[in-house]
Amino acid sequence: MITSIIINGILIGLIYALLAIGLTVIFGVMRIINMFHGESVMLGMYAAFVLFDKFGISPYISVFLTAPVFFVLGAIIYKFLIDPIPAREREITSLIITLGISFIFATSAMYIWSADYRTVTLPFFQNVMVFLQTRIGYPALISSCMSAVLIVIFYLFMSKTYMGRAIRATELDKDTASIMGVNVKWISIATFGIGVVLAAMAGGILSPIFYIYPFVGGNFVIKAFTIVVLGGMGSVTGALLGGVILGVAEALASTFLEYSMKDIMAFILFLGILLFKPSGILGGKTRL
Amino acid sequence: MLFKTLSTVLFFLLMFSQVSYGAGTFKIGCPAPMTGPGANFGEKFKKAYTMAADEINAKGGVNGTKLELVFEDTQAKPALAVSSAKKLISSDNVVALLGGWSSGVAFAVAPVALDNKTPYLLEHPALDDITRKNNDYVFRFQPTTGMYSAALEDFILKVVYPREKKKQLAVAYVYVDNAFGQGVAKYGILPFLQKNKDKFKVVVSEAYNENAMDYKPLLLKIKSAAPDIIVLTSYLTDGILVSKQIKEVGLTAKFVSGTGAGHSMQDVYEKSGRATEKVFTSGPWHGEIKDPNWKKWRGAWEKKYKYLPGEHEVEGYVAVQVLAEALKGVKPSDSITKQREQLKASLKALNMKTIFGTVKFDNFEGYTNQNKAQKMTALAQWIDGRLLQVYPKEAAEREPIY
Repeated sequence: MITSIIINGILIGLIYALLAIGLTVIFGVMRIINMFHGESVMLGMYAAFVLFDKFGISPYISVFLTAPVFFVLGAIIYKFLIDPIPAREREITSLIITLGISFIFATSAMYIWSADYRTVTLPFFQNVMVFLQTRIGYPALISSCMSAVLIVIFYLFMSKTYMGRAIRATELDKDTASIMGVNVKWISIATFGIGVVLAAMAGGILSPIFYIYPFVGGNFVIKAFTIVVLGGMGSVTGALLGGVILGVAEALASTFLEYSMKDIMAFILFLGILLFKPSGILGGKTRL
Repeated sequence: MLFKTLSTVLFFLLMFSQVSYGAGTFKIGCPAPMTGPGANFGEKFKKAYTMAADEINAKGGVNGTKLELVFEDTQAKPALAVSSAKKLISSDNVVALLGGWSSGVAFAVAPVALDNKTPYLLEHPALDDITRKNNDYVFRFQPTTGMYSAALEDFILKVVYPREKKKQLAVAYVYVDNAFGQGVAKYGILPFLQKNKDKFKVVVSEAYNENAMDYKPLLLKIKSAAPDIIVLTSYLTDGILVSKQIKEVGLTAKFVSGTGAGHSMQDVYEKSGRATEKVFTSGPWHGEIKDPNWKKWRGAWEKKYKYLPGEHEVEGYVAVQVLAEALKGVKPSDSITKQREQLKASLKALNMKTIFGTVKFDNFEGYTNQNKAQKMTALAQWIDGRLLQVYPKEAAEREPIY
């Protein structure tokens, strides 16, 4: 049983990590607490649902098709609603503005799709593979593997490409990056767009194993924030590590203690990190 | 100028007093969710009340006095329901309050009924605590959450236990950690297992969070305990995920049952990819389905509203009949305060046969004015996409597959 529990913990942890990465990038680069994150996940879920329902496109493919749309959405929100905020009021005002945007999108979703619960039922949803005596459903397996792949791709993007390096340079020191020829304004817009795309992709990947409704985003925000703090703000590998640690810790706590201890475990980890290593497991010097 | 103002005031006073006393009907105040997320339920109950009231009025009303339903929209919000109830009592002068649909609303309206000494008859709210507050003005004829599992308990004791031929059966019980789940656990399943501990060994008994993303650790724990019986109290979203993930981890047992709510919903059945097929569930029944009067009523309902009624429709219909029966003991010529007291006394003395079962309000085991409605529950089973009542015999639409 213990191997099954750990394997399941790792699989869900990978999804947690993908949920957190969009948030950590936006926070790391721009110091914006993005409350719109949960609704980005929700919109990604609905996009996957609509494309699956109307055109039969698998969510695992449609997340790539809808990515440009979400990038533009994120860029527009940043350009017109967040960028105009004066720098000294940035942290609090951006929190309030993104919270407002999230309400607008959640209630619009309610208006468009009603409060009904939706699910994406893939044709192979009941197939199960057995690995180390652990039964893993195909959708759960594919969702977790895709999360891992996307995280690796994103890591490579951040470490190898010019754009990724520019984002990290901006994160480290805005002024110096600007002197070195990085267009900080455009990098900020692009980063916000990328953050929204990552959240929406997480939503799409999650849609076959979860349910969808207009206010579903709230389920993910707190988890994502916990992981961001756990792993270190702005750190991609930190988010990966934080997600997996949280997944396994929750699984172990709910098995050997009580299921209701699961969330307590998450917050004990959260408080512990804040107390002993406030910059997060990989926060501080190693940024990526 | 003074004369003008005075006469205007007087005119309005007269007009309102006319509205209040002039009609000569029994007014029943219905705080119902007519808009907002509960609107489709509000609509169902409105149909049910209206059908019953129209039938009674067509026969001349209650001893010659007609019933008049006064609706106020609550949007299923407790705070709004409180102000609607106050308005119904003080400005519409209703003789009783009826309904509310949800436990949250009824829980908030019940103290208003007590403060204003106005009888309040519930039609669907199931939270046990509503009739456990020594509130003498609140009456409930339908099962509480703690009674939802009555048919299931009976089936486990009388059918499952003898068939398994074991001294003790291992039972795993998990329930959602909200008002509904806690009600079923605290007043239903847990006392039942405790009372019969010689027959049942509890191997897992835990509450779970309604909004979790992953229930597999819990389900794996149940799987490793290898229970003979699994009982689940689930709501909507958790019901979908738990049902799906039970299939995924390959959790099986000889007998698996829910206790109403999530397990009785078509939504959960469809959205879990039919994962609840052959799963049992127990909850309020659809009435005395073998009673010719029930059949007659269902036919009339279908003719009038073009769909088949379920538990909500029968509850709403019977609630108005119960009030009408009790109103026979009320003198319409007395003041409204006296009428309300007469109605309360009359409800307390009531012993009435309805198409939903026998209605008699009792004080017992901490409950006040609560019908012993354990018999108004049935065990149902999902068979080929339809939820069919299978136990007890008098409510069975077919044999259980077990």
